[in-house]
Amino acid sequence: MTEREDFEALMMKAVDGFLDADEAEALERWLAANPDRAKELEEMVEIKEVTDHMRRRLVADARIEPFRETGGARAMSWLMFAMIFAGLALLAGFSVTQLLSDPTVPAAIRWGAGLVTAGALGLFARVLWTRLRSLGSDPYEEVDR
Amino acid sequence: MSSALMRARTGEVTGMRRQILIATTDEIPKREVVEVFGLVRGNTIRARHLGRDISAMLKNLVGGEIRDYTKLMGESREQALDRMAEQAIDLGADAVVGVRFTTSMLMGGAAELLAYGTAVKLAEP
Repeated sequence: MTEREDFEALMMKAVDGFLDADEAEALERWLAANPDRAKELEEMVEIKEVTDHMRRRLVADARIEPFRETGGARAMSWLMFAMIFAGLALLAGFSVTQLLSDPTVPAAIRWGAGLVTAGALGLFARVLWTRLRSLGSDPYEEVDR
Repeated sequence: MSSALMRARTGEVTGMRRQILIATTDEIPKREVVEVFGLVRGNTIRARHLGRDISAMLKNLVGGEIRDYTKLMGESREQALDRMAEQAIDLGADAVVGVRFTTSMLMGGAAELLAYGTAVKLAEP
C-alpha cells in the first residue's frame, strides 16, 4: 500500500470512529499537510452523521410501521366518523326542530334556541370554510412526528 | 414518501433553519460569540379535528402510541422552531443558543409550544 492509501484507510476508520490514539495523531499530522483531504474527511463525517441519524429513525419506525392503519382501514375509520357526525347532526337537528315547532314552549325560548342554532351553524361554516381554503398550503401538515 | 414529508421528517420545513445554527448549549465549541441580539421566540397552538380527538380518546382506552397526537406535537414543534429561526435571521444572527421548549395548557386537544433562545452572531471559525 502507498502512503496515500494508508491514510485513506485511516480516514475510513476515522469516519467510523475506530482510530486509536497513535493513528489519530498520525492522521492529524497528514491532514494538516493535506488541507483538501481534511475538508473531504470533514464532509464524510457530516454525511455519516446524517445517515446514522436517518438509520436510527428508520429502525424506530420499522418496529411500529406494520401496525399502522393502511388505506382501507383509514377509509373505514372515516366512514365510522362520518356515521357518528351524521347521527349527532340528525339528533341535534331533530331536537331543535321539535323545540322550535312546539307551541307549548314559550316564544322567548324558541327564539333563543333558534338564534343560538343559527349563530353556531354560521360560525362553524365560517371556520370550516377558512380551514378548507387553507388545506394543502400548510407545510407543517407534512410533519409526521 | 414525498420530498416535503422527507424534509419535514428531517426537521426542515420552510428552509429557514438551513441558514442558522440552533443549539441547546450556551456556547458553540470553537466559535466565539461576538454579538448578542437577545431573546428570539416562536410559538404556536395547533389542533387536530374532533374526529382525531375521538380516535385518540378511544386509543387511550387500549394503550399504545397515539399517532395523531405525536403528529400534532411534531407539527407544533417544527412551526415554533421555524418562527424562532425566522426572527433570529431577521435580526442578522447566525445562531440561536440556549434553545428551550416550553408548553402550556390553554385548551384541551391542542398542542401549545413555545421555542425560545438567544440569537447571537459568531466569529468565523
